[in-house]
Amino acid sequence: MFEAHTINAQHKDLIHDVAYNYYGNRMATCSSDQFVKIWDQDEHGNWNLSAAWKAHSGSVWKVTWAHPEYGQVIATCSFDRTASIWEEIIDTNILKDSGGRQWVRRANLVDSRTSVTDVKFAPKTIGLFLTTCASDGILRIYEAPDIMNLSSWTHQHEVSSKLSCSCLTWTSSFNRLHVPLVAIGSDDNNASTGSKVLIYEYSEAFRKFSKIGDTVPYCFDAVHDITFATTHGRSYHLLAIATKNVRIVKVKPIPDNVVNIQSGASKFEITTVATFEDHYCTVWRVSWNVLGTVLASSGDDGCVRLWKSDKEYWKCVSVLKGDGSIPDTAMASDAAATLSTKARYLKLGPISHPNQVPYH
Amino acid sequence: METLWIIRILKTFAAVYVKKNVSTLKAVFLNVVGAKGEDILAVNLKQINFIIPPYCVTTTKSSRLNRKFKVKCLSHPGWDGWTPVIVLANRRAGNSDGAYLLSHFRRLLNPCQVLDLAIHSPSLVIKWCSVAPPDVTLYVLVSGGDGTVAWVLNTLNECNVKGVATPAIGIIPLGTGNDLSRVLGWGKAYNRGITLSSYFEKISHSSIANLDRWRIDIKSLSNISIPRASSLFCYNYFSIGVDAKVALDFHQTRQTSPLYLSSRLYNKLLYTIFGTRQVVVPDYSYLQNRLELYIDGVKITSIPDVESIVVVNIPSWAAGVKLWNQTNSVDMSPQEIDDGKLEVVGLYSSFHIAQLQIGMSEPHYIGQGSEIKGIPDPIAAATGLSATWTSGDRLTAFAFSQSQNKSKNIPVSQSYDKSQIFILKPDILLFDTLLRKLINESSGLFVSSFSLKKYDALDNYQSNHLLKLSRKYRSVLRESIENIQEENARCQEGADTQRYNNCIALLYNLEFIWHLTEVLYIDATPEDVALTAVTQWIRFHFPESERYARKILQTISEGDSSSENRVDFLNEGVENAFPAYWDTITGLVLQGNLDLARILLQLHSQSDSDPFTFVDKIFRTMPVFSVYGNVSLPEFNLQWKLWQTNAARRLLGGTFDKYPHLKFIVQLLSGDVNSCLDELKKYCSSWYQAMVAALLYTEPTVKFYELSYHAHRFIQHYGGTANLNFCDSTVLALFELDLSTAVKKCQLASDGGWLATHLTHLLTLSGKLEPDSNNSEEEQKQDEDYQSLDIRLILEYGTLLMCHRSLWQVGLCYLDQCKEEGRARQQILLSQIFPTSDSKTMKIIQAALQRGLLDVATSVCKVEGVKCLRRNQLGKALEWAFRSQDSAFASHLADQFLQHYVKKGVFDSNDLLDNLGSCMLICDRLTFLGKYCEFRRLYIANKLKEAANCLNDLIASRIAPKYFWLTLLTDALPLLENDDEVPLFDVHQTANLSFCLNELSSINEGCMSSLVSPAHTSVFEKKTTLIRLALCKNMARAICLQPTVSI
Repeated sequence: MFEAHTINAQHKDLIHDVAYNYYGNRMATCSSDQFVKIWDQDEHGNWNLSAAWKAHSGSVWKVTWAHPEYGQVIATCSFDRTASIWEEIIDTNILKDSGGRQWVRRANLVDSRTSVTDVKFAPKTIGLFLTTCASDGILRIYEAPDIMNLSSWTHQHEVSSKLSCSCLTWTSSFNRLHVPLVAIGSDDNNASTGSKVLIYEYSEAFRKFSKIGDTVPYCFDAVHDITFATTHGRSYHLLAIATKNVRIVKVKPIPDNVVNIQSGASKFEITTVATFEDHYCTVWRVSWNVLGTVLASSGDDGCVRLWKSDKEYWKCVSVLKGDGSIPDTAMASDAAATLSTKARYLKLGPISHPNQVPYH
Repeated sequence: METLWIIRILKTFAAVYVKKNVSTLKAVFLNVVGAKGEDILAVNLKQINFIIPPYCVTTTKSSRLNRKFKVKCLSHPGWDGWTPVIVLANRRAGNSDGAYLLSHFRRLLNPCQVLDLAIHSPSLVIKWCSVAPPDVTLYVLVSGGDGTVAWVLNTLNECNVKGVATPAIGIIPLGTGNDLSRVLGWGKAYNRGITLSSYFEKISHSSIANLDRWRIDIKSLSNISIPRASSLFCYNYFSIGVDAKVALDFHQTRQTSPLYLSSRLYNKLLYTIFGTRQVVVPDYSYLQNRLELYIDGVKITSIPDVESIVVVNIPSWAAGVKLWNQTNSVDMSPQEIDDGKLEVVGLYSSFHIAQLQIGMSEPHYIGQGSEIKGIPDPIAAATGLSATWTSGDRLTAFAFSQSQNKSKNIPVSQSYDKSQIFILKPDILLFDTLLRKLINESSGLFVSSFSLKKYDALDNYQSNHLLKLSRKYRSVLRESIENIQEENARCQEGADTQRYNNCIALLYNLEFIWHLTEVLYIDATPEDVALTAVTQWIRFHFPESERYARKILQTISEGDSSSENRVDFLNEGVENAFPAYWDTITGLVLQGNLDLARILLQLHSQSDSDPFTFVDKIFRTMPVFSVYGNVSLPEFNLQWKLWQTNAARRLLGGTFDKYPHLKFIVQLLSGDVNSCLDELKKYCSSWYQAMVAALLYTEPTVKFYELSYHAHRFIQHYGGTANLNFCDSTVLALFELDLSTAVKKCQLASDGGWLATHLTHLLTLSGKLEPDSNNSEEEQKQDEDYQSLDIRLILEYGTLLMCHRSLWQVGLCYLDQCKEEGRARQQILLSQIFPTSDSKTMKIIQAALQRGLLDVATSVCKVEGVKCLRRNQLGKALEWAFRSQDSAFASHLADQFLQHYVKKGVFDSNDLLDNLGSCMLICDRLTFLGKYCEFRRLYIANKLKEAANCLNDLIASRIAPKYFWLTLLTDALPLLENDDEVPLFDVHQTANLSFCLNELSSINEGCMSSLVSPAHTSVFEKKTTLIRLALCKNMARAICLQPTVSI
């Protein structure tokens, strides 16, 4: 089904996050070895290491790319209680192999007193905003007032959730009528502290965040990752939650005129559309594809499962699992691909049936 | 060996592991159901193949009294197709049927071939195998129940150990359940009415199938219990719980009193008694709490209240119940006996089992286990795996574990330094460069099809158009095939042949299916001539015979010119000159091409003889049914009967005994297909060919809806539904008039959805494919996000193309047709295309603007601008800023220009700045920049008065940035010191200037202290002094000229 392309990451410890830029031709990896590495894809599809540097003095948890409109910018967050913003500059004075490219730290955000667990840029429609969340339970929002000057960030807001935060996500939509939402998840294990997923809406007119009334139903277990799908042509947002199972939640804004009648009621309708128990244990990561049609989830069972919806019904379309033994085919194709030493191709299945399950 | 299954039983502390054995077993699989008639002669002829002649075998006996014997050697008797059969039976088994079978088989075969299991052990079969000549396949016919078969299979497992070829196994079902026998097609029970020679018939019509053999390891988890039998083999099913208990009770009862239990009916009754006991007194309720079930290493937690867990390998359980019924769950694959998978089913209660037996209830499906797609990374195997989506359809997987995250901070373990990242992408054959033409041309047709309206049954014109469209699609496919073949011929490297062949095979299959769909659904033919259409289809795709016939005719007509050759042909006979002569004629007849066959027959050297003239006559006189003719259907049927009887009569008369080929043809014409089925199979490589050939001469007026029945009949002859490949099963679905299944099958083709998308679209246009039969109209209206199947497929296909580097424009065309959802997808995907070159950028912007996606266009421009800025190409960046109308970015750029000017005294891109025009209105800073350039132009052109006015305006309007004021004032210096009679600045203007100067100096002093270097300060002061001086002079002069003005 899949053709695989291997990159030897050469991190000295486990990789925590792999993030792609907007076009998918640059990749950033971060690891417990405190390094961040940037990989570039050349026109033949091979990935080459273009930069690697020690970014923090602790495990780097997450890395994320800003929209290319703001240049080549990444943000990282770490166990060392800081989040950093890095920009790649072309310095014509230094003519090294890298073509004079260099990553410089533009800002170091040190407001957190605890490990910063997640960092995300807000959708570009509302400007250049960076949000971080930390184990102290505070969601911090920074803004760069001058998009051309990435070294000055003002600490705009602070939203305290009183729960140890583990992850955050923004909605992204081309539709300017959609109110941007930010959701945070907490890995607090105590069920009595209520829902572990909190959703805030950002009002551009008042420039403030307000918690939306309804809580996400039944999410009382520790949440490890949450992700909003791209809202394309849909009237609602889809939020994937990694907790003890995989859960997909639909957040649907109720049109204004309805809200006005029942004044004071919530402006959103939140319903669970799917719950997958297939991992049988804790789920750590969820990731949507570009269109928000396929969800990849990974859990303690060591498997990555892909989910796709057929009308309203979601089902597993594929499972990937780590396999200790390197198959013979891999070795054979390794020998065949000696020309490009950095790339190794291997086929993981017969090509006659690219998708064993008909999607429709 | 990987552990696939673990069932851990908590109470007794035992674990059951199931491992798959490497070797698969062979078992004879029965295929044929036809040929029921007792043709004794034929059977006897075939029986020769199963008998071991006495002169071929040497056996020894240890003593006269002992009935045991040993096989010494076995030699080949010398005729082809010799496949000796060993019959195993227990004379005590099954209501003394065993003894009956033994004695009767000893009559038919060499007695040493018939082994009594009461005397011999099945290991004698291994002995037989080891002495048999290497090229001979031994068949073993086991009579008994499933237990006996498993016993023999277990023994034969040693064949693998000893390196002897495994014999194939057939079953005479004597047992109670006979599940394996049912699955393999040997019938559900033996009764004495079946003649034994019919088993030989069955063997000769069978093919070899594989059966998974599973090893069950039972390990004791507690330390105190005694280790029991640790390893067993499983073929059919095994279970834990109530049905196992019933079986155990039954087994123990049978052990104690074997005498009464010889009848199948009695056994079943006993089962019922024990089963009923479990209903009343359940021993195994809430079984799920007493065991842990792992499938593929994954623990299953969501088991409802069951009394039994059944693990099944074959699709038959407890006398023919199909536990794994495929119809109600879509995402489970069908159960196969050789797929390397086991199926796990939970049963609620003993009563539930009884309901299953009569088909009243459904079991609870737990899961289907198999090996999972592996990522070859040792670290990932140890730690776990995580994955992120990349843009497009690629998935990135990497070793990941969160559990150690929170506590660990310092890297310690060295084992991780080989961590790898895997980028997975779907392998799509469609993206091969060879198929570019197909993609591009079909997209053109697709777009043009939107001019056609939805099908209207009365509109003949419309349906003609659809037919034309369908043909065009097919011609595109054909063209692509030809192109690839040419390409392949041109570069005879040999390395890429595989690739070419893959593409051709794919395209060929697509066209094959498309053609049939066209014939059956799009081409509006009347009901009664279904066969004509299908025959056309077969003729088109299997043109070998026709081609060869033309070749024969051509060779002969060429021979005409040189008369000697022609004489040669006539003397020798065409049949000898061309070895494939008869095959060709038969092929033509099978495709109903009688005219050409007649011409060939007339060339035969004996064409004047009686049989030939007769065949010629019946060829000529075959009635042909035509809807537009004036013969009614009953009338035609009468004619047809007459014609066939005529042919059949001559056949019985023995006219054709001399010519076997002619005999076969006439046999076929007379409608006696069953008797010449083997012959027919020889000529037809696929079931649909055989079907069409048979129908041509048995039911010439077959209706469309009857084709399904015939298709199933012929699939049985060709190995059953299990042996169907992708193409076959799609064809079957089409014959069944089950379009939705056919479309589902089409999606499985490795063409990335090409066929499914285009075909579904065409069928929807023609109104043949109902939008969605599952949803009623009302439901569709309620569901606002509802899309019809063809739109969903188009979306999928368009998205696939858009994710490709160079096919995104084609993908756009497809998404254009999908309304809002398509537009939303375009928006996302278009902005994510990486512009590798300027021309590509322009293409993206143009595409976005055409579709009114202004956001996308703006965003692309901004990104380009930032990119240029990073490379320090200010002018280019400014151009992009204009395009995107981004004021913040434009002012930033204008600042950059001005600062550069302050430092260097020149502008980089004068041309652009001089011709800003209305663009300068985007932001204040840019307006200033434009105006300033205007000033410079005036100054250079020596229009000093205008220049002075312009400068004054710039300063007075206060739009200049602070850092630029000094530059502006310095620019005023030469103008102030102009020696003209009239000063260029009047009193007001001069006052303005001096006011600015003062403000500037005060600001400068304010921030002087630390920020600016002393050298810079001195320069600043020097300049301000000069300007102040010039201002004073100018003021003086201006006041002199304009004394009336008060300051």
